[in-house]
Amino acid sequence: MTGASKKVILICDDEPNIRESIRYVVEKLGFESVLAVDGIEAYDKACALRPDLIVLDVGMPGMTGFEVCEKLRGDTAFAKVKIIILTAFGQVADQEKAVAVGADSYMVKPFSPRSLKQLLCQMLLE
Amino acid sequence: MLQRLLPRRLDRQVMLLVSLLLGLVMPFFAIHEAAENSERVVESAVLQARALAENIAVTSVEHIVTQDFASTEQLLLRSARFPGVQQIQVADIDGRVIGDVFVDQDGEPVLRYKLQMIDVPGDAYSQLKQSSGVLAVWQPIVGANAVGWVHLNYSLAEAKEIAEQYLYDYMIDGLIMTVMLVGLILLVMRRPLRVLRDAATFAGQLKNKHGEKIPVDQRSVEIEQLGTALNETSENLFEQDAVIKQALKALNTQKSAMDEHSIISITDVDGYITYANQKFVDVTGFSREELLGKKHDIIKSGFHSDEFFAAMWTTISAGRVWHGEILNKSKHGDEVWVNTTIVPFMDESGVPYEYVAIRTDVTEQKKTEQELEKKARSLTQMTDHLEDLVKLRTSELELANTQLLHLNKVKSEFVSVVSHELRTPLTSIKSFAEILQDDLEELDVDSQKHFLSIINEESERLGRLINDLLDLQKMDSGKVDWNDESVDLVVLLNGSAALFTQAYADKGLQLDLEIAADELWVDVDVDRIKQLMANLLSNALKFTERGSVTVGLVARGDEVEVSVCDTGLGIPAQEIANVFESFHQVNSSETREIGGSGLGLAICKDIVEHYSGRIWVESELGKGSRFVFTLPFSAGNAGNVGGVA
Repeated sequence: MTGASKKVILICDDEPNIRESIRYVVEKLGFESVLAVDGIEAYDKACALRPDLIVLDVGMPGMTGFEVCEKLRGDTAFAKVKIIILTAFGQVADQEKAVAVGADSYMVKPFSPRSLKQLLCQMLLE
Repeated sequence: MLQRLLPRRLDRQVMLLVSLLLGLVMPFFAIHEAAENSERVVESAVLQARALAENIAVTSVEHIVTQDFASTEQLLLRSARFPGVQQIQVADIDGRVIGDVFVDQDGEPVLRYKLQMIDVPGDAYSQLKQSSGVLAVWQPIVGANAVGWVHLNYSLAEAKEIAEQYLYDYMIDGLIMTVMLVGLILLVMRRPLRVLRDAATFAGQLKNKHGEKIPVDQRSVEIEQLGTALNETSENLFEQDAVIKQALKALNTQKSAMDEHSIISITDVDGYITYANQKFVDVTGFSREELLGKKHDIIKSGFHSDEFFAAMWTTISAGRVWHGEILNKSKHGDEVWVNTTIVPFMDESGVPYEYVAIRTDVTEQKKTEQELEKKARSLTQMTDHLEDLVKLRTSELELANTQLLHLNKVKSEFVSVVSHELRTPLTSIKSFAEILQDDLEELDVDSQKHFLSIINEESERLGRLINDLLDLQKMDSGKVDWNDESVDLVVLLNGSAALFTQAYADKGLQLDLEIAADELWVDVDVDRIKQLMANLLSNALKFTERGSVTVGLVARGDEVEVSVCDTGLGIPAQEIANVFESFHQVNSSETREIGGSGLGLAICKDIVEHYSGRIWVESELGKGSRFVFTLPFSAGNAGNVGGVA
C-alpha cells in the first residue's frame, strides 16, 4: 500500500475511546483516518474530504448516524462511498433501518476489532 | 156496547149473522104469505056469501010472487046451514020481513018471528058491508022488477081464523127453515171455520211454540196458503229464535265479560244517569239508587277544568265518539282515573238520545306511570350523574392511560437507553482488550499502558453506571433503607464541599460556601444527602470551565433551601424541563466528552422528593446554572429558624 493511494476512512463517534479504538484498527490496516465527534461534523467532513468509507455511530448529538447516511445517499456524489453503521442498540429495527437509509453494512456494539478489520478489508480491498 | 155483545169467535159470529138474517127474513116472508092467503080466504068467503045470497034471491022470487013464505023459511033454514052464515033475512021491497033465520050458539038455524021492518038499501044493487068480522050482503030479489031484498050476515071469523092459522104455519115453517139453514151453513162452514180457529189458536201460540207445524188443509186455496204461511212463519220464527238466542247469548257473554272489566253507565240526552253497571257501583261507592237520575257531577273530582267537560259535551252532542282520561272521585273520596269512551246513540233524525260511557279503571296504571315518571326522572338524574362520573372516570382513565403509555414508553426508552449506555463502555473495553490480545507484541509499553488505562476507566464507568442504576431502581421501587437522623446541614454541606476542594482546585475553579446560619437541622439520611451534594458538585465541576461554583444555604419559612450555582455551560431552555430524567444529558459532543451516567440528577430528584422537598434548575445558556433543592426543617429546629431567615 503506497501513500498516494491511501484510502481515507471517516470515523464518526461521540465516544472518544471508541473513536480511538476504531482509528487504531484503521491505521493498523494502513488506511488514513479522519475523526468526527458528532453528526454535523461527520457530514461536513464527509462533504469536504470525500472519504472512501465512513464508519458512522448512530447515537450522536446534532445528527444521528442514520440522518447523516440518508443525507449522504441523497447526493449522487456519495453513491459509491462505503458506509458502515455502528449501533449500540442492537435491535432488529435499527439494522433494518441501517439498510433502509443506504448503509452497506452495520456492526453492533460491542463489536470485535477483528471483525471490523475483516469488514474493512473486504470492502476496500476487493 | 154492541161489540161487547157480539161473540168473539168467528163461527159464532157467522151463526149469529145467519140466524139474524133468517130471523128477519122468515117472519116477513111468513107474514107476507099469510096476508096474501088470508085475503084469498076472505075473498072466497065473500064470493061464497054473495053466491049464497044470489041463490036465495033467485029461489025466493017465486016465493014472494006466490006468497009462499013457508018455502022461503025452508030455503032460509037450509041456507043457514052453510058455514059462516049468521043470519039470513028476506024482505019485500018495502022492507017487510018475509023470512028471518039466525044461527044460534050451537050452530042450529032458528026461525025468528018475521013481522018486522028492516031498513033496506035505496038502490036495488047488491051491496057489501063489512064490519067487525061480519060481512053484510044485500042482494036484491029481482023478477020482472025488484021485489025484495036478501040480507045475509056472513061471519068472516072463520076465514080470519084460517088466515091466522096460515101465519102461524108460515112462522113455524120459517123457524124450521131458519134452524135448518143455520145448521146447514154451520155444517158447511164447520171445517173451514175449524181450520181457521185452529190457525188462529196456532198463530196465538206461535210466540211460545216456534217451529211447530199445523196440518195444512188443501181443500181450500186460501186456507192452504194460510197454513203454509203459518208454518213458514213458525219455521222462520224458530230459525230466528236460534239466531236471536245465539246473538243474545253472545251479547250476554260479551256484556258479562265487559261488566267484569268496564265501568259502564248510560245517560239520557241531558246527562242524567239511566243505567250503571255493578262495576260502576263498586268503583264509585254509590248505590245504584243513589246514581240513577243523577248527573255524573256526583263523581266529579274537580281535577279537570270546565272547558274540558265543555269540549267533551260539544263532541258527543254532535254525535261524535269522545275518548279521554278522567279523574273521578268516589263517594269515599278515593281518586279514580278512568280511561273513558263515550258513544252517542242517535235517533232517526240524527239527534242523540242516549250516551253510553265505557270506562277502564287506570288508576293503578296512572300511579305506575307517575311512579315511572318519577323513577325515570331520578334515573335521568342518576344517569346524568353517572355520565358525569363516567366522564370523570374516563378522563381520569385517559389521563392514567396516557401516563401509563408515557411510562411504558419511558420504560422501553429507559431499557433501550440503559442498553446503549452499558454497551458504550463495554465497546471500548472489548475493543482495546482484543487489540491488546492480538497486537501485544507489536505495541510499545506506552500504548499498552494507555489502552489498559482506557479499559480500566471504562470499567469504572460501567461500574458507576451499574451502581447508579441499582440506586435509582431501589429508590423507584422503595427498597432503599433510609437511615434518617437529625443532621446539621451546615456541617454536612461543609463536609461535602471539602471532598471536592481538591478537584475544583485542579481545574482552576473556586468553590465557595454561602451559609447564612450557624446550624440548620434536618431529619435526613446523611449518606443520601451526601450523594445528592456529590452529584450536584460533580456536575458543576464537569460543566464549568472557568469561574466559580457557590454552595448556598438559606432557611425559607418551614424549609431550607440549598443551591449549587455555577458559571458553566448553562442549559438550553428547551432542555431544562428534562434534565432530571434518567439518562437525559443535554445533547452535545461536549457533554459526551465530559461523560457521566446520565442518572445523577434523576437520583437527586428521587432523594429530594423522598423528603417532600422540591428540586429545580435555573439556567442561562453560556452563563451558568443554579440547581436548587429544598428540605423541610426537622421539628426540633424551629427555634433556630428565626435567626437564620
